[in-house]
Amino acid sequence: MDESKVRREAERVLKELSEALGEISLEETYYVVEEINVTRNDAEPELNPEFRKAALKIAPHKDEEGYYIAEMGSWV
Amino acid sequence: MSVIEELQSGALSAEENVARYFEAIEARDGEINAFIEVNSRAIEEARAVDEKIKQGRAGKLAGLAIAVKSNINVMGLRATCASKTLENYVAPYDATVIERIRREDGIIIGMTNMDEFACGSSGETSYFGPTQNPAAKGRIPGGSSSGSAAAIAANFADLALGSDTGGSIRNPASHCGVVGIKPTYGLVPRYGLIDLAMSLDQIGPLARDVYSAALLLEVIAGYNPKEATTLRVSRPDYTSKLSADLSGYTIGFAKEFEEYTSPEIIREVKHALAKLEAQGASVVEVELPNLSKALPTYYLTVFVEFFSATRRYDGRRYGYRIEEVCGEEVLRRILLGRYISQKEYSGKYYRRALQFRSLIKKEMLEALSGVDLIAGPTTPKLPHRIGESIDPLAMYAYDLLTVPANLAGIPAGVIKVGEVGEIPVGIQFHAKPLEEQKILNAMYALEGG
Repeated sequence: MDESKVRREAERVLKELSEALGEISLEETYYVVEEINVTRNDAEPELNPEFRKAALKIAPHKDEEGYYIAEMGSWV
Repeated sequence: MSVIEELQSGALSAEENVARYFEAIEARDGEINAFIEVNSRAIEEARAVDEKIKQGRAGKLAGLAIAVKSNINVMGLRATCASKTLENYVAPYDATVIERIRREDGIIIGMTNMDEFACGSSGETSYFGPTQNPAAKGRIPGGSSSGSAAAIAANFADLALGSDTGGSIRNPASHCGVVGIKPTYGLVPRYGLIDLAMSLDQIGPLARDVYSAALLLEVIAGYNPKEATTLRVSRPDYTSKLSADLSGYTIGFAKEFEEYTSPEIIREVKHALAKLEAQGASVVEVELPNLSKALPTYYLTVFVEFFSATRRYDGRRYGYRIEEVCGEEVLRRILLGRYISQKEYSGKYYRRALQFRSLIKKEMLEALSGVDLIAGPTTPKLPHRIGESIDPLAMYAYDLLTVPANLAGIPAGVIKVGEVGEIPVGIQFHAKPLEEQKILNAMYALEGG
């Protein structure tokens, strides 16, 4: 893949879409659902014993005790 | 006799139904490429359903074979999103829609091909190769639910699930000549759907006829306490209320549709409107003066939400780091989303897009206030040939007529109304929030009741 071509195209896409949009002054619409169910009744948590096994099965790197092994982030 | 009737009467067993689809997939999917993976346990599951049918305790979908888009989690099957990023991701749980399908004894036949992470309108960006259009050889099937629509058109399954963020169910439904529905935002649970853009995504059905689409929709719809964005509505019953009698229906058509759509597509849509008038509906003109703003509004929103959604693909818990393995379109959207998300640019692009979203929503709801439905074309142009080089903006333009429904959160449905040079053309119906029944009735009337 030619990354510099993708980058150039991205810049052009942004410029053209932004110009096509123009300016407006209105309130923003974040989510269309007006009545967001922010709170819900507490219930007993459901535990699926298979989930942990299935999740670990697809982990790229893990140790014998069942922990993920991940490289330290370059920002640390 | 329909497959549903055959299964209910015992003329066809669930096992026979699934087996014949497996045979068809084996024989012809090498050419079409609708499936990424088939469910090796489907026959076993079908046998268990046959037992329940014999005992008279089977559910509404008993024995029906259902294909699932590869961005929906089905426990034990790969949810790859048609990307190398999730090539080996085996879903560790069932999405809510899958739990509901299983509860009604539907059988998951396999995971379908799609545009990579649903980023595309042609079905060509999949890591697993493009999907062919079974209804128009050599043409794209549309996207991003390309494999789901193709599976229905090729007779590889009874029903399919797709997801629709800006037309990803309706666009391929139109190009492949099948029925597709994008429900009201919040009607169908998204739990277990791998996001493209969470404020726009909805799961919906694809089928060969309106009754089957209505049946699947009523099974998957309804409130889910696990989600903050599902609507508190009771489970709908669309099938018992299906009616081809459109007396009293007013259907709007916007002249702006003609401005942006090929004349041959408009001709087919107008034929369909004349049929609807003959069945009791009246057709009036409505105005959508800001229709052209919908596309930039949609894409500037999607870039940001998609970038946010992709931050989990860091290669630590599963899969590969997305930027290292993804295709061009996915990378383009990540780069754009990252750029726009920077503090100094969010107001310039994202917040402005959200303001235009308010405008589009207001305009769609105002246009719908005086009518029951708005009818129009689904795509502005016919599907191009597979492999043809298309500029990204020209590709995005396929979505011009489908994105308003997602931005406004309203339902929309598509059904085939004709052909142009043997390429299917679909009409699109929009309705007010939660008025899916009216869309289904109008499509049912066009189907011939």
